[in-house]
Amino acid sequence: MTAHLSNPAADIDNGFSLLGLRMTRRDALGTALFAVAILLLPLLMLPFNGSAPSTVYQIAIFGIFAIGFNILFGLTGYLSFGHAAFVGIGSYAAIWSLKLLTLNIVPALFVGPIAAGLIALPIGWLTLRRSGIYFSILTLAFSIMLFIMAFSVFKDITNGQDGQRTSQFDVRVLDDAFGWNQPEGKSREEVAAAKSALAQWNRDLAALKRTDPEVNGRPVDFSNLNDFAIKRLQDAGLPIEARPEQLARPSIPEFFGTPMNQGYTNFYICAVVLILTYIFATLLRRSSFGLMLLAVKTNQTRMDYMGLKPKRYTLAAFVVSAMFAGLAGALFVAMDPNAPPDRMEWTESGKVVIMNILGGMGSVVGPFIGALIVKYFGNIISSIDVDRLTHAIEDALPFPSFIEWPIAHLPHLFVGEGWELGMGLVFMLMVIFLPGGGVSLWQRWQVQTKRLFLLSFGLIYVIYALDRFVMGDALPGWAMFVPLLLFIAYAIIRPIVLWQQQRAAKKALAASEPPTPASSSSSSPPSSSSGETGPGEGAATLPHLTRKTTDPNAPSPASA
Amino acid sequence: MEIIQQLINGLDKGTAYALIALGLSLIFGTLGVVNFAHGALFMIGMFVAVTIQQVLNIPVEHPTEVVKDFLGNETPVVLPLAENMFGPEMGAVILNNGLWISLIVSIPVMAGIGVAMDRWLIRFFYRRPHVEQILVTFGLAIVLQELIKIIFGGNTIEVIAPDYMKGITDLGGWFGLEPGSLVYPTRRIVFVIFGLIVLAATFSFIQFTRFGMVVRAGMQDREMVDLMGINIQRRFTIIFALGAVIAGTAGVMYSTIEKPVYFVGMNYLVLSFIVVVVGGMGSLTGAVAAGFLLGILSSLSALWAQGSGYFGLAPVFDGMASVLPDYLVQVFGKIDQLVIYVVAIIVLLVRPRGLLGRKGIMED
Repeated sequence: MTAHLSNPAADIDNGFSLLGLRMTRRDALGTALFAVAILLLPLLMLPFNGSAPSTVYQIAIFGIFAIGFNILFGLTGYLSFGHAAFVGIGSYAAIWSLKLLTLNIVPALFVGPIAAGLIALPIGWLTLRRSGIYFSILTLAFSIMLFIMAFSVFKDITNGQDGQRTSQFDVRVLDDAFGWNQPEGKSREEVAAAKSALAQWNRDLAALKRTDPEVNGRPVDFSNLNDFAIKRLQDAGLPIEARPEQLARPSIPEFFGTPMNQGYTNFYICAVVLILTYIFATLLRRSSFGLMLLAVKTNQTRMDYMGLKPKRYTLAAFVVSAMFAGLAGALFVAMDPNAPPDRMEWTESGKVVIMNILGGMGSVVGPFIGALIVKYFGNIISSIDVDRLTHAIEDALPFPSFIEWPIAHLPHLFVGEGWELGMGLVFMLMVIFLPGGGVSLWQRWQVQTKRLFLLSFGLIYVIYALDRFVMGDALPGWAMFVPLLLFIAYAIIRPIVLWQQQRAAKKALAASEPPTPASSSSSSPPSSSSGETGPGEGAATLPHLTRKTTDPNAPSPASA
Repeated sequence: MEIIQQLINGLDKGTAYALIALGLSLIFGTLGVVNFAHGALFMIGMFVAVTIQQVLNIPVEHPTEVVKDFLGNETPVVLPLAENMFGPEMGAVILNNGLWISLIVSIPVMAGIGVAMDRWLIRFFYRRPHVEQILVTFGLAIVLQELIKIIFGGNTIEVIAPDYMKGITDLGGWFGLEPGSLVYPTRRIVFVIFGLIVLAATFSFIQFTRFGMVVRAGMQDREMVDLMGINIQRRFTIIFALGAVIAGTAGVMYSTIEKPVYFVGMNYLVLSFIVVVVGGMGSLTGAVAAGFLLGILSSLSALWAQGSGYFGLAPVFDGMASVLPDYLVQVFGKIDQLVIYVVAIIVLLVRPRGLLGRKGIMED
């Protein structure tokens, strides 16, 4: 698992240095590639039918959450099951910033992480006194506590199940003080005048109510005062004026004048934050602090002996990752000004763990890839019409119906509402065979396999572009994925073939080597790990051989 | 009297926690595996009950009996499967007792699932880090939950209890108190009694049989037992199946109390994990004691939350309300939902091995 965590300081000399933070050339290249890919994400998702603004901005936000979570889980190995609580806290803090300070999202994007970090500090201080499963359970307990409290104790802040929303009647101190986000086309003075006029009208009305006026011998009903009712009261001779004009204030968050409700504007704000997060995470991994976090994962006892205090570093990592969770929550609110409590549920914490595992923990880009996969499948695969797909498969298959039926109804399990089943299965397979995640798969591939992958992936875009612009949508929708599917088949079959070959070679070796009872009985330890070769058959020499020749990506649980 | 009423209110939840926690603790103590899919086993037990009920109630046309509809045409009688196969009287009895049939059916089903889980999945994780065990079993829990969702849909399904288990029982009458002073739904009493029987049986099995002795020896020192020529792995697999059966039968019995739905397993999983951790990882008595303790504590604190002044604490509560800020009073008012987590956090921080945990086991 530590293979992809190869010494980051090794090639540090030929890198860049910025404010004392270092970045190797490789990292800089990777960051540049990542930035370009993120900025082109809507375009890159086009062949996959996933370039809708709501999909891509969710991918970006969850990417931030997952990259932040990786600082704790991937680097220190502490598995927290409670980080969704910090997303919720960030959301609520940000929505109150939008409600009380200003509709501009920039303060909200600072308030969210700071609130999450402040609450994470005591929680981390308490929970990090334990490690392993106890840490997981403790963070789980804290997050469920916060979730329950969002419904009961803090109901005034969170507004319970309905969630908190911005509205045009919010106070917004900064907006009012500086005249930002005031009604369209009105100057500050006009707004102030309209406000004071409305306040004066309300005061007059209250004074009128206190006199208990009567019209035609009956008390006046003030409950439903629309313009018509006011007119009637005026006709009856009551001293009431027409209600002054109310100026509608905006309630959609904005970024220096750009409202956050327009297609890709939302996404590009998230994308910039995501790229900054990526740069931060890369720098952090290369810094001495990042190396300390890796040391926590590798050997805490040794850190203790060296006089370093692991708790400090893990606490810092906990707070930083919670702040990124808070940032993600704040971004959610900035994009859609609604803060529901569902974001705090512990299953959401489970989802970010799944993202980290799928993409690959420990690396920087891995968690983002996991977020991309999970969100893409969550948004796109879950919205496929299963019945239409089933009929299409049934029509396409040339078999009798009793064979067709099971094949055609397979997608019912994994597509549409059942997409979480597929995600769970893939997640389990990942944990079983690839604990390092998708990125470790990439690192295990040989150069030629990597090239093949890039080629088949690039062909998707080539075929898509050809089909779209040259052939005029003549090809069926699945045609562009053929190279990728071929590659996947190749990538699955090849390690199995290699593994079989090696097993055969090992057996041949064991058979050709004559048993040497004298040497093996003297040198083999009592608990010999010779595996299938059995006791006495060259047990002293074979373990070393097998360890060298066995392919690490042999896809068999038997090797574990 | 109200205190006793509230105590037994906590009993049925406590029994459920204790039963799930017992299985979790057995598996952790023997195999050293942290099983996040144990709540899913409880949920599967619930859905065994649902399945049996649905199978018994499949409408089938009777082969011979016919009835005349309002036009005078003869149409076959449609009856539930059970009545069709065993005649009306016997069929009614079987339909009424579907719960017990589910209980019997669930034992081999859950044992099979347990063995399959251990042999096909968990086996490969014995020696891998706890974090990976948590992750893979968490994934398995998601998969099982989604499968159930696909098969049975996302809504709650009611399991009908037998007629004699409906209604409430006057417990006060049993003990010579005035009638109506201590009442409790009958199916909850049945569940508590069932749970106590299962707990007693499991403890006797572990404590007083030769098999249990070997298992206990294996929990102490697995390698030693292995070297003595005993196939300890096989016995541990059986223990895994036992844990699955306990969780599954508990699910069957609990399905009359809480309506089965696919995500119920996750809810109980979190709570029973907290129970195991509070009781002490790998300690069976600890798990059971903590299960009852937390169940009762949560229902007692509901009493406290109502602020109706039991334990003679009403003046204290009122005095607190006048001094403390509003939100702290609210915290104390809602303590019944939070108490389990608060207790878990305090126990874990103060006594990490749990209330009855053995020294040195997972004390990190």
